[in-house]
Amino acid sequence: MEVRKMKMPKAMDFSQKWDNFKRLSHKFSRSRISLVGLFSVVIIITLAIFAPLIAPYPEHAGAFVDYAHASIPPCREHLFGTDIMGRDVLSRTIFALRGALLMAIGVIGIVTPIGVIVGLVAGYNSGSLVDTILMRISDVFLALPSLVLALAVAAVLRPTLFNAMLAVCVSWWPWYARLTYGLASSIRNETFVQAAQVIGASHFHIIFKEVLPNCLSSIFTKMALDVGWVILIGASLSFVGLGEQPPTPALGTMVADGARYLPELWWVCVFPALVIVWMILSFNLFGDGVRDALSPEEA
Amino acid sequence: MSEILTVKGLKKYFPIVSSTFSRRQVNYIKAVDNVSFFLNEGEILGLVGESGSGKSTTAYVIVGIYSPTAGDILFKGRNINVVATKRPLEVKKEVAIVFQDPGTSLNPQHNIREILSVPLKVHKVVSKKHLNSKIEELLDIVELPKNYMYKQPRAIGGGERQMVAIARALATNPSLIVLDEPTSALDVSVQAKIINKLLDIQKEFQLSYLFITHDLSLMRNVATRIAIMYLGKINELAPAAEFFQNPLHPYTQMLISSVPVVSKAEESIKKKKIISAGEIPSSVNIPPGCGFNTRCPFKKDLCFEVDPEMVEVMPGHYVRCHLYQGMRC
Amino acid sequence: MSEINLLHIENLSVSYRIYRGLLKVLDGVSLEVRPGEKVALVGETGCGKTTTVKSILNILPRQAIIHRGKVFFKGKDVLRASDSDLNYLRRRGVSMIFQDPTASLFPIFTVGDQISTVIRAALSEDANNTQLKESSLFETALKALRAASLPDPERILRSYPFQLSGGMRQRVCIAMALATPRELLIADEPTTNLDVTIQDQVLRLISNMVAEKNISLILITHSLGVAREIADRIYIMYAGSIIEMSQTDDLFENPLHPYSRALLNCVPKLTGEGIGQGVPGHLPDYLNPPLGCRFEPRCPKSMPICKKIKPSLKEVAKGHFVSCFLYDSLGG
Repeated sequence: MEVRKMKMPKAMDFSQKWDNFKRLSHKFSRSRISLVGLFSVVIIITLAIFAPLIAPYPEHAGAFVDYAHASIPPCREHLFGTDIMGRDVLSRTIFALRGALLMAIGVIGIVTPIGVIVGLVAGYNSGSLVDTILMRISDVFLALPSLVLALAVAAVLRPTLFNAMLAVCVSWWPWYARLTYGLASSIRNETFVQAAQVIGASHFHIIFKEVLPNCLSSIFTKMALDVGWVILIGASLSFVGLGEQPPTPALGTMVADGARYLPELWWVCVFPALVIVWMILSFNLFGDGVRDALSPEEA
Repeated sequence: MSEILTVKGLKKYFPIVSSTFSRRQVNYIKAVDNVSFFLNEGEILGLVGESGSGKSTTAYVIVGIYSPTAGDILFKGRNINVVATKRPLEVKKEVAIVFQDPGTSLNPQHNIREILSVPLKVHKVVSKKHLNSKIEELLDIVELPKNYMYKQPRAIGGGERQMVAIARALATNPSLIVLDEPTSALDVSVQAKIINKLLDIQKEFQLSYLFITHDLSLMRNVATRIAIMYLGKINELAPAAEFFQNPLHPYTQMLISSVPVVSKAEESIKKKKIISAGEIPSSVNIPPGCGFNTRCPFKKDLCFEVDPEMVEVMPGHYVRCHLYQGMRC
Repeated sequence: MSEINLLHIENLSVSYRIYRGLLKVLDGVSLEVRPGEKVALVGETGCGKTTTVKSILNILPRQAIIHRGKVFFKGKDVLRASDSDLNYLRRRGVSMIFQDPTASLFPIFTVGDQISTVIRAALSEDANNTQLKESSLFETALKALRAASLPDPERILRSYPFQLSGGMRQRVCIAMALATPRELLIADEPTTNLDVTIQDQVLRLISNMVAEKNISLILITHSLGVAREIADRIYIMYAGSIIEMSQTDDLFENPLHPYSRALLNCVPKLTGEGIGQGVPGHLPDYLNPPLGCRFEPRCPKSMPICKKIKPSLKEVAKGHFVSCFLYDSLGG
């Protein structure tokens, strides 16, 4: 008897969640193009994770030199051709996806909690001194173009993937703070927040249990849409040599190196560049789908 | 009978700031302006008014969503004229509110179980082990099935949502519930269910209700006493039956004669037909003298100069109008 | 019969397509309005009032599917009308007042601009009135506001909607709706957002203007009291069907359908006799509505036949129609 009592609600909880999931996936898949985005994103992630198994020449991803096969245009053995050191461009590009994705995950993983907490605290106390201090600080960061700020930070630190990540984070968190601030400062005037105040719930409860859940859909949407842009900014940093250092492949570095041999060895530069475009496009399409799925409008 | 709630000279002014930079206060919206009344234990006091009358602001000040500009709110003899966050926890346990729109007063991201567990956890009403059974008990009181526990508010109907809001208000065993237009967003057939439930609960748990509404015919069937608010002030206050048999204030008479009715018997109550005219003035530029002087058919010169005082014309029947200043009993 | 009807809706069924399937909202609605008649359509939220009204103007949303039925306005089928016929219908035939006057007035144009647009559109339907002078436009607008007993109409013409109160905005909407000659006015919950003393004034205004211009009125409302104040004849709607129709006095003295009775019983009365118990249960799920009477699952007097067959609207007393098997033996 006791066991059944415990189990029943759990099952219902699950069916409710399953129902929610079905509704979200219906809304997501209403647009064909978001499905294309989702499909591409899955491919990109699979490629990155299983790079050593998928890449035709995994050893080319490191310090590898084979002048005998240098500068071969795209052919059956080397679909994307080889660069001046004889390394397979396709293999290097697949391995470069890892750095790009790691960058995106790292940046968004660091930036989201910081920005969201700053935004929540400032938004919940909007109009107070705390609000003014926190939001003016984030305004200062917002005032500088994010690429310039990232370049400056990355230039000061030693050029590594991790430092590039930090550099992007510095310029990125205020966007999350802004977004959450706007949401929180309007949600805190909602009746359900007033209801919690009248009941006597703590500030902690109100901020994290009442306000935050109602911000999440916008935050998730922004995260999904941001992945592409972080990849772009990461590629820009490595393009100027402030990212992952050779011989580890990075999309920006590959484009920069290849650009020197344009137009003769066009494949060395063009394929990594196209992959950047493809990644950003797929993540943006996917992000649009997430936005559609999480928008409050009913199906 | 003892007074559970006494409101004395309650004022709530919202400042109007001239510009964002100077923050100079140029004027006030006088939402609630010197309101006094009391609520006996086990009583239902109907606070009736049109939009802009300050009835909801009064409710919000009483439960502590706004802090009053001036005046006292005595709850069981204890002054609680501050916002909710500064009130002692045991007072918050005793004073609950049900809002007008259950669509916004219940967090849309939570399920019913989470919504109902907030007051239970904050006030430690039950131990964690008995949380579910207490929630089932609450759902049972408002006649909702147990399996609603894991539904989200948007998955259930408007009336059922309001039942959840009522269950939440009951969770802490309060003695006073402020009902802020609990049925005005609902259809009449749903309203009937909610009102009957509220009346049952009131009897069963010996509660006192402060019932805010714009619906006079609803109050006729619910309230023990009725107070009419206009431009932040109470114009008339009387026991329900007396209020409809012998409405004194011209505004009350106008309101009663404006109510659409569904039977001939009701029409006989609307005998003193005062044709409704004009609109409630903005509470920023309240005319000098009596607030109702812009619409009153019986206005005299005096009404434009002096604001009348509240007079008890019969035991328990108060009115604030120059027509009755001499009738003090 | 149909030639004396201004509007005649015949057995209209409309569904909405959503991702879970078809919402079968309207299920054979028939309704008629004679010239100069004031008719009320009463029902609770979600009963299909608005869908019915939208089909009259042929402004149903894209997801709507009209299964069967016809809507005749002056003998022309609105649902299959040409664009020019529809223009005539909307510019000269029917005008509409909505529930929320704030949303139905454009916030960035003055009241005067908006009224003159309406007048211009209406007059463009008249072949011999093509050259319209701006001054006469202004005069017509002013006259319309005055007719809606708005104080200081010159100032209101120059005001933006946000500068007016809710009651004034609704009066402006009424003025706009009746600024040019019309034959039918549809008022969709025109007083729901207004205070009771303002509601009283607006209802009186609508009633007077309709009588003065000798046009017909369809009042959509959820309030039986409001319907009683204004209408000559009342249709009661439940879950996409008309369940009862009769002259106003008759309906309130002798409601027949179990739903009408329960509904009337729920309305709080000034006499203070307490409030009825309400109607148990919910509106049916429009995805899978009951096969028989749609009220059957909530009906206290349900019979076996109600589950199987949908009752049709029958005249049980003179001018009093009801769709319920309880009164089958009385059917004429």
